Formats: sequence, structure tokens, C-alpha cells
Amino acid sequence: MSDLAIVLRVARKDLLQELRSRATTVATLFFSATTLVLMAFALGRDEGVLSQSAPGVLWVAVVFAGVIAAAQSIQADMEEGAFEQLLTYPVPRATIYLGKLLANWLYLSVLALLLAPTALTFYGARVTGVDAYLILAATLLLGALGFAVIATFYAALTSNLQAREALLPVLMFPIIVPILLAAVRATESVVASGAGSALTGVGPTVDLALAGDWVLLLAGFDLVYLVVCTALFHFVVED
Amino acid sequence: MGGETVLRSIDLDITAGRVVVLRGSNGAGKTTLLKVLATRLRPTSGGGAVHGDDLITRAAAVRAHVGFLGVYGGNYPMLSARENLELASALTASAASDKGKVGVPAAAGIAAALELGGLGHTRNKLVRTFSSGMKKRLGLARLVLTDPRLWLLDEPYAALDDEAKSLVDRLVAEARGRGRTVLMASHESDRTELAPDAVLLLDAGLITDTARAGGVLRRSVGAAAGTART
Repeated sequence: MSDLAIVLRVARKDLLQELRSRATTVATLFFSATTLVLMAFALGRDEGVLSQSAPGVLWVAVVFAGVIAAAQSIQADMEEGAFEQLLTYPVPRATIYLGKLLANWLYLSVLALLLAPTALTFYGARVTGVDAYLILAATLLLGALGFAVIATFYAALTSNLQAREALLPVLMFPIIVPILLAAVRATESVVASGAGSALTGVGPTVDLALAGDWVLLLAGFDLVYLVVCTALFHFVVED
Repeated sequence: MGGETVLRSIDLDITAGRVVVLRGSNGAGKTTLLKVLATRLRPTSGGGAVHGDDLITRAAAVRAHVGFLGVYGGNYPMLSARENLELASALTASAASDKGKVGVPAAAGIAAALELGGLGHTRNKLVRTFSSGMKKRLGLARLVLTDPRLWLLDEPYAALDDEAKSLVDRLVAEARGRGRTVLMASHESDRTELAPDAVLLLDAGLITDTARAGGVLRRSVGAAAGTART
């Protein structure tokens, strides 16, 4: 069996489990919706502030939901010694990591693609033009990939620790800052706010060229993190 | 392991094609020894080999020889029995082809393994609906399906009824008949059907006694580094 086939097998297994249990889906959707609503209350009634905050709030919701998804992905495996069993199979450790990463990425991508229109509409921001939509879609997919790369790695790293729920975000949030920054800036650059801020009187400017640059930077971060995490995963799962 | 020495001065050489039972009180180190041989734990000193492949430097090759059945069965609760075996079959397929095994169609092999484990009628049920004994039976079916050269069984009789315990004995005997080596940790001391080739008593990480070991294994205690070979 080729390494690619093993990756697909592991990903299929993770997705099948989630489709049946829906444990992560329910938790992340509820958490994301709560984040969007709470942030709207926290930011106040200024329509300009709300619309300008939409990209940041969207990615905060994705990041928080992603922590839950990655942790749940590993915990589902830890039940009844299944993850330990998985590690006794004669397959490269990297294929296990990439399989779990693929499943987490697909899940987070769907979540981000669902959250984006919801968050932008809820906060009064809008995207106009095919190019802007394409760049936004690329941003969501690449942002979800970068986040899944790190979340999958750290979820495995903390899986045997007692305080894993607390440690996972503490360890990974500092690492995801470059991904988060690039994703938010790229999203900001394709989103037009519905109104100017009451404070400044102006909204952010749509700049597709700038958005493209941020997307390229995001892809670069993804590649670096992917290579490093894949290479190091072997050490993470060795006792 | 977190500063605590679990295994000490183990010098063990098991002849291929034999059944060896590890006995000892809780915490004696039985599971740890099995996990070291399954490459799930790396010894802090010493080493070992399985069919000539070093446990540390050729861990991936060792995994191609080894099948591990843990206490909980190692199954995915949200997959069906058939899907669990399909996954195991797929992930051991490359190693099986390397060993030159005769290619049995995967679906037929899986159905046969499930029947052998007494799970033919529940093949499409999710494992989360299984009892502890059924989960253990599924783990045994996985071993039958993948048929590794070294079977490592951690408390294989736990949670099983008498019929299933006899099934374990039969499967182990059949594995021995095919030239497979079986090393099991068990508290069951009255299983006459099993007829192990050797019984080792492990106490506080040391092998303190052996029985029926003639020609099956070599044991010496006193070396600073632990080694294990099969």
C-alpha cells in the first residue's frame, strides 16, 4: 500500500468517526456561533467597528473551534487503546500525521467556509467581485490548513498529558500567530465594510493585490509548518 | 519511564514458533515488556531484536513482524467490526506483501476472521455497542487476519467467557502451528488447553523464575542492561 493510500485511509477513518458521532461538529458549531454573538456584544453598536472587526472575529472563531476539533480528533483515537494500536502498524509515522491532518483540514475548511458568510453578514461586511471571492476562498482554505497543521501536531503532543485541554491552546496559540496574522490581513483586504467607523469615519480599503501578497505569505507559512511538523511527528508519538 | 525503573536486567531469547506466558503481580512489568517489543516504549538502556531487526534502530521493520493486542482491544468504537478489520488489513498490507504472504482477497479474509472470532453476525455493528468480551474477540480477529510473526497479547483472557477463553487457546495453538511466536501476559494459571512452551515469572521488573523453559529460551539475570530477543 502506498503512503498516499495510507494517508487517505487514516483520514477516511477520522472523518467517518466524526460523521457518526458528530461530537466535534455540534461542539464547534455551537462554540463558533457563541463566539460571533459574544464578540458582537463586546464590540458595541458602532456598525463601522463591527464590519471592520469581521475578519478578526471570523478567524478567532475558526481558531477556537479548531482547537476543539483537533483535541477531539486525538481523543477519539485514544479511547480503548486505538491510537496505540495504530502506532503498532508498520506504516511511517508521517502518514498517520498527514492522514489526521487531512481530516482536520477538511473539517476546518468546511467550518471556515460556513462561518465566513455568516460572520461577514452578521457584522455587516461584504465581498464584491469574483476575484475577491476567490482570494477569500483561498485564504480560508490556506488558513484552515496552517491551523490544522499546528493543531494536529500539538493535539498529539499533549494527548498523554493530564491537563491537555488547558495546555493545548497555551502551547499552540503563540505558534499560530503568523498564520492568524496573514489570514486576518488577507481577509481584511478583500472585505469591504458596510460603513465607516464612527471614530475615524472611514472603512478599510479593498486591495486585492495586497490580499494576494498575504495569501502567498500564508502559503509560505503553511509550507514551513507542514514540513517541520511532519518531520517532528515521529518524536511526538514515541514514548 | 518518568524516572521509575520498570524492567531490570532482562536477558531473554525466545525461540521462534513457541508460546511463552508472562506471569507476575500487577505492576511487575509484563505490559511494559510487551510494549517494548511492540516498539511502543523505548528502553532507556539495553536493547533487543525481533527476527533480527533491532528494536531501536529498525523499529519500523520490527512493527512488520509484530501484532499487539492490548487490554482494551485497540478498536475504534465509531467504526464497525468490519471497518476496524479493513483498516488493520490496509495498514498491514504493505508489510504482508513484503513477507510474501499468499494474497487472500481482503474482504474474504476479513469475513473469515470475523467468523473465527464469533463476530460474523455483528460485522456491520459499531464497536461502541459491543461488550468488553466482543471487543477483545475483535482484537483477536485482527491478529488472525494480519497474522504477524510475533503475537504480543496483554491479558487476552480478561473479560472473556469460557468459550472465548477456549477460542484464545485454539487461536494461539493454531498460530504456533503456523510457526508464529506468541508472548502473552496473563494471570490465568489454570489453562491446561494452552500448553505453553515456557512460563516466566516477572517480579518488580526481574524474571525470577521459569518453568518448562528447556530449549525454548535462555535466561540470565545480572546484566546491567536489559535485552530481549525473539
